[in-house]
Amino acid sequence: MLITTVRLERPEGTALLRGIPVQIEQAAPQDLERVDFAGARPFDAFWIYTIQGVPSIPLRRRDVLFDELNTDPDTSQPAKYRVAGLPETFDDHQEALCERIIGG
Amino acid sequence: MTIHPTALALPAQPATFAALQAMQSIILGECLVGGASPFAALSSADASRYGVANAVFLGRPKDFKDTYLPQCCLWIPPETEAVSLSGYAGRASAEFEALILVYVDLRSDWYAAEQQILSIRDALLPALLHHERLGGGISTVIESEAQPGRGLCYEQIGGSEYRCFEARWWVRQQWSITGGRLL
Repeated sequence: MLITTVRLERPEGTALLRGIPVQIEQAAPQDLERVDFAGARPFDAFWIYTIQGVPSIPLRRRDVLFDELNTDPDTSQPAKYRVAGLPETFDDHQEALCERIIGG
Repeated sequence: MTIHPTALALPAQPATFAALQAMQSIILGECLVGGASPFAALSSADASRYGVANAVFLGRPKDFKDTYLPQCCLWIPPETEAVSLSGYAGRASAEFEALILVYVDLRSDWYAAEQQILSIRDALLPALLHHERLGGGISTVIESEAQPGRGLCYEQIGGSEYRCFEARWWVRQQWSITGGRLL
């Protein structure tokens, strides 16, 4: 589990919001890597929870979130998450299932 | 008039990546909608990395970017290759089929996406069928032909659905084994 802030890009390359406080957790810590795109796209799954309310621009499916404080150990680049499911929106936070590509 | 190659000095090995690059070049140059490539322009960093200006990728990008829609992937799927020997001097040939897979975005307007994928399909098929040897620039390539793939279809990537068109591009390469075959 990680507490950090993320930058929201929609689409990737266009930053809409910075400094969104979030909590990041592996969706299934015991799980092996998953793949789609005919095996070409290996990824790990994570839950990302916003922890200071719903962002002024709420998260949407296909958004790309860049961790502003932590790098991906495989790439040494800011860790990058893609919102892969419908984010659930509550009164005080959002929850989004995300995928992080393994490696670069 | 169709020209078939005759016995020329052959290269010492196949040139598969170069063949795929020739396909990429044909798609970028000849698959035009309204006089321009229908595939999304790449960022300067990605244009530099991939050596092309538009989203026609060789292989399936590991990190599928839906910034780049429409996009096209040219890749060789499993179990489409054949290799054989022929002749006395160790002449060899190999075949592969590349899949050409085009993606468009149907999230905001499916009907616009439907028209877009059809316009790309109609521009793509003549380009694929135009060349007997992928433009003639790759000395190993002796034959090529577009073939039907899945055609119009859907694919889900990263939890999102995309409208797609798929065709196959069959290629035969030939080379000679240097010094012939040995015991």
